[in-house]
Amino acid sequence: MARDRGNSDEYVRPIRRILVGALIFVLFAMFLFWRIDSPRMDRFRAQIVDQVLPSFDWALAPVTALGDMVSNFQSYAQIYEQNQELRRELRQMKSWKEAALQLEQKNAKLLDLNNVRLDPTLTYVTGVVLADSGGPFRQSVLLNVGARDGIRDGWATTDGLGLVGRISGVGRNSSRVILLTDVNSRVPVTLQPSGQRAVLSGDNAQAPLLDFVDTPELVRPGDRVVTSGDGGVFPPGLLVGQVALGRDKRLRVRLSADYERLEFLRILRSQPREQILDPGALLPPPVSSLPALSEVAPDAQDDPPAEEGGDG
Amino acid sequence: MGDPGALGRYLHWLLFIGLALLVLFIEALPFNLGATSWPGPQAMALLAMVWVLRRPDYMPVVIFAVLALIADLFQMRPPGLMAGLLVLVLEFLRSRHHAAREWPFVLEWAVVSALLSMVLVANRLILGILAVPQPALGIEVQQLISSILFYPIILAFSVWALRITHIKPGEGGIRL
Repeated sequence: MARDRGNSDEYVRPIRRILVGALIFVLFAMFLFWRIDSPRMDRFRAQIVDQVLPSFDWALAPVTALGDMVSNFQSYAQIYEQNQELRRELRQMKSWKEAALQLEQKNAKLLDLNNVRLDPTLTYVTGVVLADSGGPFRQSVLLNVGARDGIRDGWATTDGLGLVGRISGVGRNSSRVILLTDVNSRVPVTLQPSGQRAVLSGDNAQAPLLDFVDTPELVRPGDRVVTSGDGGVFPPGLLVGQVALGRDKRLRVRLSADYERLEFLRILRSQPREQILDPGALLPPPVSSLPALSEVAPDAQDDPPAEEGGDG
Repeated sequence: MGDPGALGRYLHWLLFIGLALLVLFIEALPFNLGATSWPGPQAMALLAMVWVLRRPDYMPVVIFAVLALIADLFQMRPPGLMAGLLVLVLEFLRSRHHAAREWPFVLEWAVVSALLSMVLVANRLILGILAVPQPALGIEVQQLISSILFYPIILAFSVWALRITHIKPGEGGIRL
């Protein structure tokens, strides 16, 4: 920091100007470096956040707890009405539970009949939300699990019910979750029951937008939205929310995850899916008629599964 | 270096660092998840602007640049761009701080508002040229409005609570 005083004024001022110029140059150069090599810069950012935020933990915990207490206290005011409402809902839920059990049994029976093989590889890690360091424009939260716990970029996170977002940026002890409402969030989804494919894109509003719907006439508010698994980032079939018509007459999704109270998040370990690169081999004619080639026959036995795939 | 104002100056540097970190800390608290209804002001930049117009020696540019860069890193903005623009604004105000002694409040407010708007436009322009995805214009304008509305509050806080006032002509002689 150059200080200029008294008669050294005319020497110090130009030097100071050069220093300030250099400072501004360094800042803009950093920005350009980020633009050119954003992964490296983001790794650097993740490292810094990883170093600093967990050490804030002692301070974050009481303040967060205080905030939760205030909001809980507000809800004490309407505790009677809430109780009544909960009783009513519980009664409804009981009938739903009965229906669900029956459906589950029926489903299991049908799956058994059809020989469907379910994906057994989905396990999860649960993390606690540390901080929301996104600022007003970036919708993201920080979790207290990181590379140490085997977290990797791109894994889906849910709050137990609905999809919340995807891991983007992993430090040793922390990782960042980009929420579905963030401007950079794009998730391929399927709308049920119409089966339409669409892309869920965040725009900082509470309910993210549905883009690229083929025939919007077939979509109705209230339709279920689940991930489609296209692109191989998310496992298919995770619940996202329900279609709703926005005030601007565009299709939006009311999220099932409770964004007001993100406390614990579940990170789904998704295994990379197997890639089928082989376009399928040429199928030779049945060899049994050619006695000269009979020793090749065991190799040809491997091919029939590919043939089935080609038909379907 | 043995001059009488030095201790006060260092204390004010520490005070600014403390306030800026407090602002960052509050913004990092996990409330208002999901979509925020109305974004808060750029409190650290406003504080720096108030201080640099009144006591430029309390507001060294390096400290501000480092803190602004930290804020960029923490709030997932493109690192360095917003910090660089704010340093430019701060240096512009620093070069005007002699004249600013005569400015009425409304003029100062107008100048600050114009500078903040220019920062917003320049930021969007540069990001647009480099094809960086950016947030909707509406929410940034909302933040600009809340920054402009907060300026008098932060000014009052600095002048009355922290005693950051212009140096009178006869009073000491720290010029920068």
